[in-house]
Amino acid sequence: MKRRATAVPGLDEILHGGLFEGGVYILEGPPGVGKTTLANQIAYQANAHDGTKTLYVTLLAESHSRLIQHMRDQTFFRAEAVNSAVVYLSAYRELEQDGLKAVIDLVRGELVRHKASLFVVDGLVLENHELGPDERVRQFVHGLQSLASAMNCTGLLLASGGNRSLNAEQTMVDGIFTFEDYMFQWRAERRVQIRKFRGSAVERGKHTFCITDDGLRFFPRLEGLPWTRPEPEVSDIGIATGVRALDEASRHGGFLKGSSTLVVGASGSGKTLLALAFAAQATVQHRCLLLTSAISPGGLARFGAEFALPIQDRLNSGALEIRWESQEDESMDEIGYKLLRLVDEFGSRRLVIDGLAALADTVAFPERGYRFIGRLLREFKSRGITSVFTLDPTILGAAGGVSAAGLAAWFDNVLELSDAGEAAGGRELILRKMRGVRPVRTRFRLDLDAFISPGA
Amino acid sequence: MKLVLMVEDEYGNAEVLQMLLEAEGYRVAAASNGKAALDLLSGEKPAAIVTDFMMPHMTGAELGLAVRANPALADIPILMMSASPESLVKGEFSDYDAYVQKPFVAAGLLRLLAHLVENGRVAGKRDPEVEKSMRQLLRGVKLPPA
Repeated sequence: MKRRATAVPGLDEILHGGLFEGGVYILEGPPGVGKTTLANQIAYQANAHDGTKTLYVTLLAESHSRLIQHMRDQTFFRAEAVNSAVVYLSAYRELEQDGLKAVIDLVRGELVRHKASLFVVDGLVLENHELGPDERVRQFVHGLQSLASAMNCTGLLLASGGNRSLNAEQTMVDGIFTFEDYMFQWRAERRVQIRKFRGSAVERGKHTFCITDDGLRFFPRLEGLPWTRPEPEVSDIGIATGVRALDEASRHGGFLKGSSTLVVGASGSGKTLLALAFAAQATVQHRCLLLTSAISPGGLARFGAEFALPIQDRLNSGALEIRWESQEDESMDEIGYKLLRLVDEFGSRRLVIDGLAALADTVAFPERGYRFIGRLLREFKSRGITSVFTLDPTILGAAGGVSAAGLAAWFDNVLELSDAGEAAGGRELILRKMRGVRPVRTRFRLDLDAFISPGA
Repeated sequence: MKLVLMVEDEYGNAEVLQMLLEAEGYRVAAASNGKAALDLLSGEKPAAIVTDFMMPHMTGAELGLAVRANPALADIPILMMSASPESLVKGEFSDYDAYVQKPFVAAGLLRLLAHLVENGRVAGKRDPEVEKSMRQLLRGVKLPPA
């Protein structure tokens, strides 16, 4: 069977390649969740890709002109394609006068007339009494499925119906995509689950998605995706940490290349300072990306300057890029994919995430956070990126409801910062774990002299 | 009361348009596609046709071609409505008398229709008054009451 890629970011990965020609797929979910936008996105993108024509048939749905008006700000929309490449028709009269069979007949006739190979039926309400019981809906879907198969078209059926959903086993359809708008206290997260998909395996379970000016963008659960990159290589190359004593203690002159380091400490313990020391070692050849949600790039540069760390110089030379990421209602996977995109775009060899708790402050973290972090670190390692994450365990507990101890197991190196008191010399750095080497020392005093100040 | 033939496949649009036309004092014959409209044209001849472009079974363009090809009906003014760009409509049928982009402002459409019903169609060229009103509608100019 031939696939029809949707070209919707993330969706073809979830579907292992796209929809099948001759298949009918039900997109079910509450109003406003994005079904209509997705169907239009698929239609316009298919036309732009290979000239596919779409028949867009509405039952009792939003008027075509309003629908098109709402679509105008989407980048995939092209006004010149309206009613030439994407033909909008209403079948409500046929439904009202002669029932669902007349709708199938209309779709058949119009597919031929407009030479369309993709059709959308929008506005099937599962709780609509006019449609009768489930049996009538199943007959309708079966009719459309037979039509799509006979005419080698692909069909999308958009259905809503509150909490009611179709019985996947009893519905003669090639796929059922269930959309939901999951409420989490004050926040909401859009999710999709492929409940049925004939002809191939899919990424099972729920995946998040967002709606942007570019249409829908799906985020397959990161840890569920098959691993396609080369396995990370075990390296014995040391990457300078920026902390003199730490480099000396590690025997390799720093963290091992591709390793991940978790720096744990309470607020004010020096985590950001240690992260800046690591970032300041970046060069134009081995660039560093630093992501922060708390302090602005200018603030970090000034903070580094107090400890003779040339952050501003690194920024000026392009060796360092600081991204100040605001705390938006992004899903965990959305943040994960954004991180991977950013390190790929920037070509990072060093990565600093100052404030891992921001990632934990997502709906899915308590359930999937450990596995997600494990996969994210493996992704960085396979790219040869040496990463440093800072973490305040108090914030982690409040945001994600998980313990730092459990999270630490995924990291190669774990450093703990604590306040040893003035009498003991201020801040103390404790090396809890360093994979690959047995350090000669595990406790260091952290003061102004501790940091290596590379030349500007 | 003048008869207007209204052709529109979308239920909500058709209901509202019929209501607006009747409120203006027209009698309305309603059809949900071009084919059904042609059936109605075998009866009383309307003062104007207000038709959507894209409809099942027979489009507004195909209806327009059929009307202009029939000497008994060819002089009926046609007001075309569509969410499509006018260039697309023109490519299939250009001999309509006024074009209204959807979603439309009722006052503008009713003013155009009143002009067409009052003056009939000027074969071969578009009425300058209609052109002016259409340009104003496209620019989003709020029209004074007719």
